Amino acid sequence: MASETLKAYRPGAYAVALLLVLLLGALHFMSGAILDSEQLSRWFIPLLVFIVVGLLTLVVVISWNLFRLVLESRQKAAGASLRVRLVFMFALLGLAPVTIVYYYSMQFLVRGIDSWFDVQIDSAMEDALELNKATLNLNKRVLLRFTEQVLANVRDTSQAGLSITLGDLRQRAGATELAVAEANGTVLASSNIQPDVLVPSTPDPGTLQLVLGGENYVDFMRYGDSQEIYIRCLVADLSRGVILQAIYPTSEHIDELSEKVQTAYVAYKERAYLRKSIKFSFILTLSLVLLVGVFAAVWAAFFTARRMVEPISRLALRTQAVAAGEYDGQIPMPRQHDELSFLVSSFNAMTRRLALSRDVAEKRKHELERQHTYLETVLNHLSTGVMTLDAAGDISTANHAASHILRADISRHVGQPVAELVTQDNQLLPFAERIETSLEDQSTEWRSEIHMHREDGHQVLICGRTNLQLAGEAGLGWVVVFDDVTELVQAQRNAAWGEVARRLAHEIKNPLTPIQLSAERLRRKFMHTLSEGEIKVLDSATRTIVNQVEAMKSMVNAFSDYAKTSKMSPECILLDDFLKEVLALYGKAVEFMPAALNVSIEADTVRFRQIVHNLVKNAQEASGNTENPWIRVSSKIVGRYGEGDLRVEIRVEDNGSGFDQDSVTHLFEPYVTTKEKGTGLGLAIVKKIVEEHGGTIRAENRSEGGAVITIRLPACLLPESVTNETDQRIID
Amino acid sequence: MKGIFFKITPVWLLLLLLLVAVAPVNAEKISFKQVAIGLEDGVVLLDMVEEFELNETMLEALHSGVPLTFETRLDLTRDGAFFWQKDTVQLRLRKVLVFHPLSSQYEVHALADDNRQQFVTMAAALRALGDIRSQEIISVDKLDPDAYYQVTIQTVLDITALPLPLRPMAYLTPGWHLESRVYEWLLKP
Repeated sequence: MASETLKAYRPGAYAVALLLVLLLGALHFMSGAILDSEQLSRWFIPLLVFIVVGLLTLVVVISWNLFRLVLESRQKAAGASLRVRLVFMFALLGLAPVTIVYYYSMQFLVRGIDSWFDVQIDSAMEDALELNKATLNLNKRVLLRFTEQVLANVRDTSQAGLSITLGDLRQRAGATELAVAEANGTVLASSNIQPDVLVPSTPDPGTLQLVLGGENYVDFMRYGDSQEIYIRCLVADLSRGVILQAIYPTSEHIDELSEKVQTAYVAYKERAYLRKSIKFSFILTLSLVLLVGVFAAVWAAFFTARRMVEPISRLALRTQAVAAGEYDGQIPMPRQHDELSFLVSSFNAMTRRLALSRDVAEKRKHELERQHTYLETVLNHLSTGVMTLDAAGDISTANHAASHILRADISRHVGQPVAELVTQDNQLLPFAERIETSLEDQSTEWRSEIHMHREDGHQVLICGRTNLQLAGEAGLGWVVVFDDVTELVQAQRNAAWGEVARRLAHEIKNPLTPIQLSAERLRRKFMHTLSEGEIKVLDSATRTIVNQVEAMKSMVNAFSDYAKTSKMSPECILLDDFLKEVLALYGKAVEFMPAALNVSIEADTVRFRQIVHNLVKNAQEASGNTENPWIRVSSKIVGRYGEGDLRVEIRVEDNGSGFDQDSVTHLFEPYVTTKEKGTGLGLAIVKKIVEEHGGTIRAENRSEGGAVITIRLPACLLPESVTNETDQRIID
Repeated sequence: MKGIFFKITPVWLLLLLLLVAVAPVNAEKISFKQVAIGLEDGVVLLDMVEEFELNETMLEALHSGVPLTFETRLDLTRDGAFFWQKDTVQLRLRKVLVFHPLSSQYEVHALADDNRQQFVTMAAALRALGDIRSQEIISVDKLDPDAYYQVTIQTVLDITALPLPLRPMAYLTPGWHLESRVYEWLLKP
């Protein structure tokens, strides 16, 4: 682009250079027209017009350059300030000597021309002319008197006689011509020194009138082919009505001297007169030369400054571009092979290397980004939570699984300590504390099991921490890896309990029947043979045995049921409608507060009905001894971390005695009961069914007293039309 | 000397005579007093009287020894001719007015016939300067008797005849530009 700019200037520069050459030529011709050329002087006006037009063109060109320079300077364009300084400097360097030369040339010219003409010379020339005139006037007076005498001697009246007389008198008087004429100017007779001149020289009518007025006339005249000075005398005899004209030659020497004096005088006078014009012409020429020189210098200053600064401007622009990260593009090499060319060449080489380095760096960066993306993809597809911490213990990265397991948006806490996760969810406190503590441990690796109380129950994480360290470098940070093993632990526990229940059922149920049969046989055999007192003992003992065996059978059956793998028959039900239907059995004893409109769940209605009954039954038993007991069942929609993970919550509350604080955490394990006759399997079975439906359950005491069981189940929202349809189905 | 006015025989000659009796004297410093074109002995002749009035600039130059050259330009062109067609006649009559300080006389020098006339007064010299008598223009044989011819006459001070150093100033100073109006008329042989 910069090269194009310079190229765009070239035609203009050539045009201006051509104009300057033409102007110089015109000035040369003009000086010839003024000084020494007749032919060129006819071209003075066209030359002057051309020069003035050329100067005006230069003024326009310079004004345009100046305007652009000022504009670029105000816009702080690259190189503009330098150009201003260069133009100013070049113009000053060009103008100063030209102006000085012009000033002194003018002085020399004016004073030199004036010195040609001195007052004394003026006076001498005037005096010489006057002296010459005086000499000739003396001669004139003598000749006039002589002519008067000649006229007095002319007495003839006939033309022939007059001619002879005039010829004789002319010879004696030494005159060149004598002529006699009448008062009206008619020549009567004449005599000339040259016989072939028949017509005498005629005075002008004014002179003739003067003579006829009575005043004789004598004066110099130019006469003959040689145009030498002669003296013409006109005398009149008014009484006779005749006029005599006599033309006398002057002395050859006097004539020569007079001619010289007159020639010198005329030449001097002419030159003196032309002094003003000569000064004007010289000043005009000199001024035009000065103007052409000045404008040429100023234009050359602009052009040179532009040529010099252009590569620097381009360099500055490219430097700015390089600073902005643009390494592509090369600066065109200047024509001249100088330091600037070397600089441009070096700069181009530097930008080439920078561009190459940038390309390599970008390639590596893309490779790293690709690897990073690959790693991130792998990490995000892991079910294990992975979180990296920097050397300060602040979170650097975390994969999707980490956020999912912790149920928190970890990306919001990047750059913050792990403890900041608590601000989002205070249930993460154990996790944060354990991680923070582990960081204080200097060991390379650390593993631990972390238990957290979450809204939907207990969460167990297996967590490990490893130092990130490169060879020869200080610690880069840590990698924390954790897995949610809640379901795994629960499944293991459930499997263990199932195995226990199955074995109990198998080991205990088998001897119970013989025990019961034996007790019944003893009762039948000895009931009628023993005394009344003994019968009472027997009856009581056998009855106790049978009842206890029945009780044990029931318990074993219950264990058997718990251990048995259930067969689910899920169907989609509207939760609120279902609960309303089930709870209707309890009448006003149970208050139902539905708030899960249009929410459906996939559930086995038989087993889910068992859940509700078990929980309500437990609540009734817990609040049996309470004054004004109440039981409240409510439903509502809750969300969990992540999109599309809708859950519905069912709460069963009472104002009973609540749970022992110690047993709260183990309530849902088999054999844990707060009731005297409970098998300890009721809540365990409830929990099992809830988990079979993909839900969670937790128990806690209310702060106002009483207990609350909270169940959360996966759910989905039904469109209104479907809801109506489902309603219809349930009603049917 | 008798003027051409008395010699013209206009019986078979169609003469267009223009008398410039009242010319705006002050409009220019050279004014035509009388102009006549006639035929004599088969030759078209010009008689003309002009009045010259020199300004102070010219008088100063004249008395300083600068000769003043006046040129009377007469062009005779066939009427309707295109501009690139050559004029039938291009007559240039040059007269030089010179002042001789020694004799305090004015000289009128007609360059065409090298005739010199001396005058004691400036007025007489200027009269002689503007007096053109029986100047031959063209032989009538060379003219088409059925055609009209356009005649233009103008008298100017010839700046190119001034001394070389004076010319730039003369070109650029209005006082040095002395010329008559251009008079035009049609002529039929």
